Amino acid sequence: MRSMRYELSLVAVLLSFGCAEGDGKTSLALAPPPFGEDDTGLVIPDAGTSTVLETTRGPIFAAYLNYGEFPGLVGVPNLDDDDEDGTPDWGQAGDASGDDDFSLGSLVTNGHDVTLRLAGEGLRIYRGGDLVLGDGAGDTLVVSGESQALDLRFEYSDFLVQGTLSIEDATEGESFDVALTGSPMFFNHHLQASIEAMALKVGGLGYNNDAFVEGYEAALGDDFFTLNASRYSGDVWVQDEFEFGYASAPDAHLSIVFDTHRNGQGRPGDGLDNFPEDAYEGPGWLLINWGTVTASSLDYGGNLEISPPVTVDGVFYPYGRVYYGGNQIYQPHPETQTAIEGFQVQKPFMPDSTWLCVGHIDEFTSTVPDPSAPKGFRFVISDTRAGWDVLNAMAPDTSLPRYAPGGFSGHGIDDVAEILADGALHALNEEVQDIIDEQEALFRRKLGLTDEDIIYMPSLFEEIDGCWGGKAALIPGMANLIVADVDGQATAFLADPFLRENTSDQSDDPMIAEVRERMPASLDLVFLDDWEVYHMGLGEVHCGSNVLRRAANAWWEDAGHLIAQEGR
Amino acid sequence: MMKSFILFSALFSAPSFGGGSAEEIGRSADDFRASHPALAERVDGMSPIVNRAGKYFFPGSDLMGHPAQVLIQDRLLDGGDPTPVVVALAYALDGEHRLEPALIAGQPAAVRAALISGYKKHGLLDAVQAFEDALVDPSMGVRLEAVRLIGYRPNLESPTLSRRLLAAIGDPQPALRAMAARSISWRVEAGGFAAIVPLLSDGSGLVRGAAGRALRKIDPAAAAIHPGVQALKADADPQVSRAIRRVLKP
Repeated sequence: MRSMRYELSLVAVLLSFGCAEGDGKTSLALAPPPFGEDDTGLVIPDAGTSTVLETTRGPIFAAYLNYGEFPGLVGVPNLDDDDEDGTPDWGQAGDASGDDDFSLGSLVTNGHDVTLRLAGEGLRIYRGGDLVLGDGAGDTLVVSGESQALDLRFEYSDFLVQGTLSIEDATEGESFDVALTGSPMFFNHHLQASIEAMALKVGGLGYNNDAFVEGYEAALGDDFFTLNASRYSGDVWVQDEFEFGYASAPDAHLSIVFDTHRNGQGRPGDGLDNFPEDAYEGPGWLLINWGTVTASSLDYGGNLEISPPVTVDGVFYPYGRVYYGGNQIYQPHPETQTAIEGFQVQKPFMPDSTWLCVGHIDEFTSTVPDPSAPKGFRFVISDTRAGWDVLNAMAPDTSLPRYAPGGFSGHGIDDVAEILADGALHALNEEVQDIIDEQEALFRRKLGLTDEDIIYMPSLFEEIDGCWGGKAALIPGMANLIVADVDGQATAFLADPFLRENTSDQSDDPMIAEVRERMPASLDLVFLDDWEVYHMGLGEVHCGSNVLRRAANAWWEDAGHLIAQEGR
Repeated sequence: MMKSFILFSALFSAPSFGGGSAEEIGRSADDFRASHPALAERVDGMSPIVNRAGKYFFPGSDLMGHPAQVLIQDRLLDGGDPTPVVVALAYALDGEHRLEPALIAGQPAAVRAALISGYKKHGLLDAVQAFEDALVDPSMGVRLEAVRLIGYRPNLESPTLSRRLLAAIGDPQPALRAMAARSISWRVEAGGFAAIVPLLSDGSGLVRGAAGRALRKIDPAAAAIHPGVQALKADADPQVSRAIRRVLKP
């Protein structure tokens, strides 16, 4: 199991909320009488003798409903398998050993006659260890004369499942409703802190990715690990096989892997297909996908990216927006699109990436953190005009030893002059730029971007022989980058363009100098040698890596406006 | 002018190390197996890895030397590998080790399509022959690749080649018609503008867009005012509207 450190941090968070573990059940320590202000600045009145539902966020009672209003008491879907018996915990109705995916409440009735009614499917409420309401029990619970608080646990069957707990205090003549909402799934974006990065270490007679791996190791140290090539048949496309995400609530966290149907670009079990299971399947983790077990390239993880937080047409997306490449007839699985749309909080959109041989959106777009930017990030998009500008400024007789070989080792280009004199390459990149310009306009609309939000990454594309006109990066695609934290410092890992004579001297590369000029000063840049295995294999740094990140913020506080409330 | 350029280039361009017949390649490969046993073991035993598009490829700069290239040629012609692996072997050849047209002809269609990429930048008289053959290949895949690649070779000239390329405008496959328009424009084929104009009213948006873009490449001023182009200004297909915006750009 990877990420033990992450899980420990979650335990620490839970403990800090006042939770205590025991027998796999958790209970909320009683808070002092509710007074003062809540986290939105509202004054919490004196509850007096009213019935109160204490939650981790704060109290809910008839005269104070702030934390009971939609999304209210939120939880994570209990779909992991904490006791590792092969059955999702929801299917065990509270009997899964070690199950800790509940939301917590403590009902203070002051001995009154209180009736609880649960409306909604796919929800359960336990009193201590006993199922008392919801799926598998009735919808009404009457308590009377309880001098001690009732420890309640709330269980959610699925993402965004909704219901209402109505609490009626007959003695006091009061009643109030508490909304219950399951967490949506969130995909990670580049502004979230990284936990660990990974790549597959590969090598055989005559080739390896040692320089690539060593570049990561030198920067990230123990926060980087390698996957075993023999275990995963040398399948280096770590980004494509899966995508990390999460669901969260004040009392629980569910780490998620969107385990795509790529299946190592073959059948189930091929290549990297089993890596998510090997590395992450276990308590606290959910591996998920949608639709039939077939995939086109558009269904791979590299074709699913997430913007940082944006406001578009007055709508705030605090967790960004998902985007995946496709066109009117060639798209990712409809089931995947439906699922992502169904999560509601990261409203997806679809730029056209189908002009590329591989067809992935990460081949020409990305985002990088920049605290000085208006939105806290910059959108990076490939730009062939900028690519030509760099080449035009170079001495034409600059030899390009990395580009010179043919076959699978290079592009058969000896020097800068050869690129500049290639009329077909100019025509091709003019056509590519027209497409990119259209996609940039779409990104501007869908992410609310303005000129200052955009970094144009110098690029050139070529046609890939045997790909029926599909394109890929000629100059290693530097928009295809990874963002990870090196001792807290945001760092971009991107492809070494090798646009120089001395391949071992990056300081002599005018393209690197230009990219450093364009990227945020606050961002460290590491140019990795990805040429042999990745660039010539039609991918770059992002394609060959993956990054686990920390969950962001508290959606129950800032994303409720994006979720449709049932019955409203 | 062009013909004298070809003659000059033919005399002084890099030679093909195709080695002639399969037997001659086999003999050269055997010599290298004796003189470079480790390399021979590497080439004869190497397995491809999968690129990001799901196709096989053989990484390794050690495959670029002449001995390795000959050994790859020999393994390709040996016929012992599955077709997808043979295709990868074909793409592993650099242009100087392109196979002669006669050897290409005997390969499966997928391999023929891959092998003509050896003429994308290399060869002259042999390249003309390779493209002339490929442009009328029975396989649509081979024809499409030939039509695409010939656009990168404006210096190759032969009446047969031009005639066959222009004829591709009438191919039943939209992708092939579109690529033909592009290659004609990149090569500035004589009579190309007039030949492409009918494609402006093609049933495929891909073809209409490619036609507009091709006309602009040949004669930007004439393309911008051509009635057929003007008529496409309201075309809703993004492949067309994108191209027409470019054509009409001052």
